[in-house]
Amino acid sequence: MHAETFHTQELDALRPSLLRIARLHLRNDAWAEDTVSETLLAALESRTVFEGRSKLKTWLVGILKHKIIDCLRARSRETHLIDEGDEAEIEGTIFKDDGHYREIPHEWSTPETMLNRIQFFEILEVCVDQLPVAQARIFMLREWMEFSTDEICNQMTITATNAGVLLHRARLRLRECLELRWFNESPR
Amino acid sequence: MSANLDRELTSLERIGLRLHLAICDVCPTVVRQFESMRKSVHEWRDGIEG
Repeated sequence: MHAETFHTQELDALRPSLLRIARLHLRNDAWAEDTVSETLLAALESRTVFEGRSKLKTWLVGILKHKIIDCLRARSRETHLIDEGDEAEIEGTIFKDDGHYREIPHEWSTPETMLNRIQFFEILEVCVDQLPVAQARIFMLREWMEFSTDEICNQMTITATNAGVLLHRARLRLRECLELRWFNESPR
Repeated sequence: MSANLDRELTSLERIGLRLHLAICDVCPTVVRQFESMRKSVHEWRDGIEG
């Protein structure tokens, strides 16, 4: 199987999904649009390579991930990954002056029904979207793409210390957001 | 606690973490929450990419 295994209409149909993934990683609409366009162009140019062994979407997402990394790396000089979050504020809401948690953390239950899971993932997406840009980009590379810290540091030319700080702050913020928007809501 | 999710800790860091977890009642819960977040992101990703 080759050239005839997909048509441009199929690519068009998958564009919104690809754009969503690109936006989540890049946090910049223009970059996301460019990256998805490059992905679709690359797919068209190498359509004979696609042998239909995987789903078309899986193949495209694989290309997109490389394009996302290329984009972040190419723009790493202008992004600088400066942590622009107001960490004093967020840490003030989480910790008391003596460093202890203001509210005792409780165990999180896993959303069990499919509907609950879909709703939970919607909240998770909102929470990731609210992360400061630098934290979100590093968090997505680590947790979504499952890059090691070393790989992130190499690709983004940041130090391991900086990456560790950004990841920790991202997790604290996400934890707070999920507590507020999901786990402290009415019982699920 | 967060670093433990991202890299192998040094011997000294591992001892420090164990000591911290021993005196911090709520920290093991936070560690489990971090692990739960990771699992949730993977499931969310698989749903979107799948």
